[in-house]
Amino acid sequence: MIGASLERLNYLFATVLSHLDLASARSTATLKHELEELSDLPETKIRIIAIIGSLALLGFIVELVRRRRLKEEYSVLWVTTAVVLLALALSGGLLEILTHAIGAISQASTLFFFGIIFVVFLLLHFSVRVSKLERRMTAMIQEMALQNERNGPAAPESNGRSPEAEETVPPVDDRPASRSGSPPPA
Amino acid sequence: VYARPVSAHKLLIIIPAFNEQGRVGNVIADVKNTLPDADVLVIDDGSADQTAAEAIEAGAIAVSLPVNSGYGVALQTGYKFAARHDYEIVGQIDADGQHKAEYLLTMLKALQEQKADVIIGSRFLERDGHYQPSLARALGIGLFARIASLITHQHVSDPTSGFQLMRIEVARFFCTDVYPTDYPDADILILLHRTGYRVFEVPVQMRPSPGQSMHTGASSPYYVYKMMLSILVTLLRPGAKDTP
Repeated sequence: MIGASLERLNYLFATVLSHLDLASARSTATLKHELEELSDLPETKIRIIAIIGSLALLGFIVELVRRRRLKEEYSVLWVTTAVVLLALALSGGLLEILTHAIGAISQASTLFFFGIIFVVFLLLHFSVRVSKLERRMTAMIQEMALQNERNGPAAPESNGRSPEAEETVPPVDDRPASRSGSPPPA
Repeated sequence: VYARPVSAHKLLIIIPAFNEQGRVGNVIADVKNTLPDADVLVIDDGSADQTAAEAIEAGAIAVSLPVNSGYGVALQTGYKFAARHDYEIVGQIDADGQHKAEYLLTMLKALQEQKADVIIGSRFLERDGHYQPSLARALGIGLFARIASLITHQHVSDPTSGFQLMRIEVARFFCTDVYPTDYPDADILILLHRTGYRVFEVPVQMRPSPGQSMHTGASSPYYVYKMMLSILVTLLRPGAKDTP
């Protein structure tokens, strides 16, 4: 009885021990595996952040267009960028290939490289837009001036345009019939 | 077409003016004395003083740009005015009194006799002029005069002159986007040449400038850069007289 129970205890102990051993062996393997993965971990993190980021950017752009804060016309460049970013984030291989192609060491610098290129293009795009706006504004300024020509003492001079002329003359439609070509009464 | 006499009220003299109170009136009087039949248009380029009022007082038509927009924009406004009111010949003269209106007669004669489209009053064609630019400015003007001469195969002595006379066709041409409103200068001569217009110079004498000119100095680095670029792209664009 006692012998039997002793034997039993012994067996139990052995089992526990073997279990313990097994457990420790398994944990070492997992640890090793995890250690291996650890080197990949920052990339994974970056990828997750990049995916979330580009999705957020895409969503934000769509939202801006929906609220009419951004014209569809202008969204093209932004949507393209967001989609490219998303593609890069989703497929790690693509970024790797790109990194290799441009001779960069870190994938992060590849992202920065293309990010800066994008920003440069965007600024150029804005310069083009500003030039266009300026041209249109010039045409408008000229048009305003031409619509408001004044000549001769017949028209009350200074319709309150310049701050110095504080003669409290109310704005008058000073475009008399004597427009085209007629000599202004001297 | 070119022998057409200038009938009364078909001649418009444009005076772009920015803060030229006290001077612009004299220029208008000068022009009106020389050409009693001409209409005078003052483009007040957003002046803070009484330039427009003085112009009206002196018998000119005044058009006021709501904001200061620069010499080129002011000039183009004048061309637009001329085009809309069917003038036949458009002249331009500086508001600071540097140009002597009497030369408008010579220029008008030249425009009709030389079968030209544009006449430019040159300060350097005859070396006896009173005009003494600073060294840097002279270098700038000289450089672009040389470039313009090379490209147009024609002697250009004063590409920066604001003293000009042109046919309405040219003014209409200038109303379009081809006109470089920021710095109209030597590039315009090249543009005109490439479009097929004939440009001639006539010697004029200048009064010494009383103040700083509306033309930003031909010596500033930006001017040199802009003019180089402008000339280059003018040459790169398709030429030929298809635009007007």
